[in-house]
Amino acid sequence: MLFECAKAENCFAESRTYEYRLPVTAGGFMALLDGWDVKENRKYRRPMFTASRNGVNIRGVLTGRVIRVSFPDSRWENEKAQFEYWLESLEGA
Amino acid sequence: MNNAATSWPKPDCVAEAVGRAISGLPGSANRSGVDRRDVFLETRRALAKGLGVPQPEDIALGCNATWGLNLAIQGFPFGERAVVLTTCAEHNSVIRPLHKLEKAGRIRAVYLDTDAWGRVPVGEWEKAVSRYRPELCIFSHASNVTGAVNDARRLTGIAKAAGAAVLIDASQTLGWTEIHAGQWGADMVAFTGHKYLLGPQGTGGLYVRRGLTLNPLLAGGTGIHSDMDEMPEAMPLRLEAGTGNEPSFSGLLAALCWAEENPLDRAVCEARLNRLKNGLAEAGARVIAPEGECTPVVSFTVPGYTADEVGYILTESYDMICRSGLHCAPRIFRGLGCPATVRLSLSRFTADWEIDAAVSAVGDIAGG
Repeated sequence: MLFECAKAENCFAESRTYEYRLPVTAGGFMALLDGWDVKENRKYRRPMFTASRNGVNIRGVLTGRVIRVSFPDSRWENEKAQFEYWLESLEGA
Repeated sequence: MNNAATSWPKPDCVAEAVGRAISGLPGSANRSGVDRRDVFLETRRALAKGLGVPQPEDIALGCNATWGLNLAIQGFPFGERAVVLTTCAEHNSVIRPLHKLEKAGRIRAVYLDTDAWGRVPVGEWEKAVSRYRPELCIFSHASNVTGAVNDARRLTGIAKAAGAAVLIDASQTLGWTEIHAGQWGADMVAFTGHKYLLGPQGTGGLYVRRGLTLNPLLAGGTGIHSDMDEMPEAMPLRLEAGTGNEPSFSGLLAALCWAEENPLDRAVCEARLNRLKNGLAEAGARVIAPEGECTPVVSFTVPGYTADEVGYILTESYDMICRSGLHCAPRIFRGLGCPATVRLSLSRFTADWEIDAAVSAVGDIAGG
């Protein structure tokens, strides 16, 4: 799967958060999250999902193509590299 | 709802004035005189009224409050081993210049804890002034996190009585709360144009009491006294090297004139602020609601969510522009009892329906 990545700047201490633009909707991406703790909230005006595994947290608006991913501070570079390797391996546009 | 960062919208005349200034001929020293409009002088005059100071030329104009605070702190003529007393409610634009001077061995900075609402306790301030005998005291007129307005008159009076100079950060108050810097005896007041003054970004400045001479951070052209190697002594030239931002200050001047013709309706604004605070609390948020005078800022958390999560949901799912995190004032959270907050901040243009939409969205989040 091809993607674009950019640092999400914010005001939090120890923030390691990045945004990924995907070729599929976040809802479609969510279906690929085998082994993740995935939660949907359809009460929000634009329904959203969150997913977490090993300290990595993903969230996004189901109809959007951008997801936001936070990596654990202590090993963020490694986790980010692994996450992107996994993203690249996914079937998609 | 992020007006405490940058107010939006602006009055229409602001953009029109900026556009006219860019498309028109720029001002220059050899075109000055009685027939020429001096945007900077007119802006200084309007700002002097807002700050409650008699001499417009005691106001140096720069790009924002951070510029003014850096100039005040780094340009202050400290003696040896000077102590600076400040508070835990300060913005990084105070904390970081102080840290820089402290690291260089030039000062010692003492931070006074603020209360559970982010306000400076007057009694503790008095004790700290007496104990540390500071050369300079710095406090925010109002917290950018909680909106709590400090008793600037009393805090200034206490510091001045002990012989300290006083710098007030009025970033969150000028244009919203009354300021009487002259009456209070403040030595310096830093301010910005892009928040409650409704001007464009890139405008701000520093009032400096007559008789206090700061060391300029920048040296350069002033358009006049060009034969001198030193920066001129006279204010405001001494602190204003280089070409000024005429288009943005034209916008700020337009905003100041507009505000003079359209005074803030405090009763309406306070009613909206209370509507937001009460609504959020009823929706399940933990709201930091200071008693007493406040700016239109509400900080809150939602049980079960981080501030980051709430901010993300409000922005992405509800198109609600807010601010979440430390708000560049990291030390204040020691007293607030939470690691970070979500902040909504109103303007005079915020409508009831926008407040109700925010409350409803937070209710959706709090309700799981």
